[in-house]
Amino acid sequence: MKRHLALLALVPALLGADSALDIPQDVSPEAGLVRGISELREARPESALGHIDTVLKDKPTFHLARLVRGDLLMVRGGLLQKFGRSLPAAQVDPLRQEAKARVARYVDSAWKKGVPGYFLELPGEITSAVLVDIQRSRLFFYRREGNGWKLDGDWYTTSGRLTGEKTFEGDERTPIGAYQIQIPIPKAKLTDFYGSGAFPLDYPNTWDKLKGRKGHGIWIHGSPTNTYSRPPRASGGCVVMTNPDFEVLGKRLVPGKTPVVVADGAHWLEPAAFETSRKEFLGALEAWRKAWESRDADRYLACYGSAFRSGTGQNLSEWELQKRKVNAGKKWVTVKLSSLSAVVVPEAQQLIQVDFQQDYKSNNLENNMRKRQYWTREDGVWRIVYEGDAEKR
Amino acid sequence: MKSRCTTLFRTIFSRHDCTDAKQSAFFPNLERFTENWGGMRKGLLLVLSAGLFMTSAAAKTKRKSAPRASSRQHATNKSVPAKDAAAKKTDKSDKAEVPSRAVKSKAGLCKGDSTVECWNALAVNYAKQGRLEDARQAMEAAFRTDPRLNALRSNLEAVYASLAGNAYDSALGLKSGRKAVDLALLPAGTEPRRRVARETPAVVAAAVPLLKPKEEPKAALLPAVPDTFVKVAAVEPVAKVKPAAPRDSVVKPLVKRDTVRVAPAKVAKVVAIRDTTKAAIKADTVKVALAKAARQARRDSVAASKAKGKVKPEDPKEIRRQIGEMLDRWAVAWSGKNVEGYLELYSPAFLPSNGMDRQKWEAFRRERLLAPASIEVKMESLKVEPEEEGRQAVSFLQTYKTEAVKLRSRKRLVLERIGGNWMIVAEGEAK
Repeated sequence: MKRHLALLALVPALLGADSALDIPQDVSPEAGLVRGISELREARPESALGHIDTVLKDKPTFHLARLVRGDLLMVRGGLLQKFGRSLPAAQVDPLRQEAKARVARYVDSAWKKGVPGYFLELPGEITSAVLVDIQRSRLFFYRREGNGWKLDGDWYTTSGRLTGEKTFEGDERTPIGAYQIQIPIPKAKLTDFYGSGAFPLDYPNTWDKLKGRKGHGIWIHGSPTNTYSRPPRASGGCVVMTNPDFEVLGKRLVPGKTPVVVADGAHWLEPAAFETSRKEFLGALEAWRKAWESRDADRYLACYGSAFRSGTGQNLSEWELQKRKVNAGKKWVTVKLSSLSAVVVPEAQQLIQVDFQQDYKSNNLENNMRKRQYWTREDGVWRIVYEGDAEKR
Repeated sequence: MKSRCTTLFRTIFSRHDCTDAKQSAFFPNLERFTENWGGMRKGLLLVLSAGLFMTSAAAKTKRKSAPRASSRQHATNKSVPAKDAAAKKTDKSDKAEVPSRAVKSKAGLCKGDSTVECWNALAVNYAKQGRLEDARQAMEAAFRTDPRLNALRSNLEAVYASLAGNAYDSALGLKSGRKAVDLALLPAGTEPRRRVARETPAVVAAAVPLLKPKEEPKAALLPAVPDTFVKVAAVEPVAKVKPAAPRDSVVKPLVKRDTVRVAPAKVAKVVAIRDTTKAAIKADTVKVALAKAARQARRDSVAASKAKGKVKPEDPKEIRRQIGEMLDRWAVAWSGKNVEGYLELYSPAFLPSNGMDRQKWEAFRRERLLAPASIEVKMESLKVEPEEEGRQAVSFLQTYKTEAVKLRSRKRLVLERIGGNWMIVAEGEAK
């Protein structure tokens, strides 16, 4: 009896130790690959080979699947002591990284927990958003659902060879930030290397330029014909997808509209926590608008952070001087904001990129313009660190 | 091949064969039994490895027709090979899966007491001719003749499969909850050795030194089958088909013809060696021979490691010498219009400088090597310079002569070392 109890006590320990895969049931090559690897892990190489062969029949240039197949053929002879036994060592590691990234998607549950913590507010006509996590080598596609976001597809991606802050052209890093999809470049204008096409991102954006980051030509693009997919860290900074995945995604992206957040280790929030942070920020923005309308210069200027820069290059004291001067001549002011977009930028500091249409009216001036702001938390309070005209695109 | 399972397997067998003096009456039988198993397993392994290089279709055949490793039920009655082969035919859909007529016609031959030997001999023969699919089928038929053999093989395969699963877990950073592997006990057989199977390998292993305290462990493990494992182990490094087909990348491991042919020949050699020693088997001489072999093996390995120690691979002179050798092979393969030998000197990472894709480039080179009636390639004034990441750049004046043209140009190759061999990663004109 005692023995039985001891055994029972072991059960949770064993369960806890096992990384159970959430086996995908769809027909994608990745799902087949993961099913194959799962069967291999469960010591069923014959069944694994069946899955892998199916994948390869569909995608003969899926190099990782080829490697797994080679390994599987070695199992019966007792020759498989390590991953990638069937290839020269130099070629194995990138593929091992790919396998790791692809399989981790079916173990990692962070992304299942809730809504991505980035898209606080987007104009009503924008119904989708993209989150690229270069740490997970994954692109997540979200659709609007109420005030939150619902996952509607995710795909393996390749990013820059190096990680860290992108600072100059050719540093082989994928920029981290909040971007927008630009006008796509059709396949016909590209070489085979870019596969099914390319969607440029607006890197470097206002914030990048403020930070002095250089470089250009950061695209989301497809893969060359000689390979179904590329290792996780293999591009010069672009986000690369397999052609079939790119084609599915491409149909859903809206140039000039779909926001793309690129993070290195993305975070997801419980819907309630997301709603709290969303409301907190929108409250701060509304306080700024009201302060402006109140013509109380101190209240208005308290919304700006010490490191503030305006779009025309003014620092906080220059900005203050100008605003106080202008404010003196106002009898009344109304400010209306519309088409509001507030997207969290995955920087080390807490940062939110805000765009809106600003309808300003006062006794002596009327002005309707598109504006961009960056807000950061200073002493626990959201404050503006940048304000200027939205860039023409 | 010094995996734990091999040791485990050997441990089990050693108990069968060396612990009970009364079993000496069965000696010839047992010896045959285990020898066959060792030889057959080795042979099957070689064939399976060679299978890596088969085309996709052929390899698929193998999977479908091979006995399922996962179903470890053991037939209690001996399956008749002929029936088996016939049954196989019914579920074949594609042509490649039908066992060749040779195997079928021989099926009637292998009957009675010598069935296992017969199948194995067939396999040896097929392998010698490079008929790997036939060899595989013959060997699998051999296993099926005895449920005990089959059970052993299934157990071993189950352990291999679990080890492979663990290898993947650790490579992919996954935690594994798997600790135990369920193996089947041997089914009741005709030979009086059943009790052994009930004991765990650990018990058996622990018992061995007590039973034969004075001998070297190797001798204690395998007195009745003295040389099979030793010889196989000695031959193995050569006979094993290199898993890393050097030149083609992940896409399509090509058949390395000569390597595959070598393997069966080595099997045959093992058998031949065994046969001669078998004639001379007497317990004492075996012990002496084993001890001698072990000493020799140790000397060899010491000598080898010493030799290794002497060569400093980073010595520029040594690198120059290695590269010179490699270039000689390159020129010889090129002049000799040996396309395989020529292409195999190109690294999997090699990219043709004109942007051509690898396959097209290979086809193009093949054509260019084979088109002229004769080719003469000469290299002069070699210059070797280190490049980044351990690569070396070599430039030289190249003279290329065929019946139609004579070209002299300054060439530059970038080489990288893969598994101790220098291979070309870039090729172009020298600036």
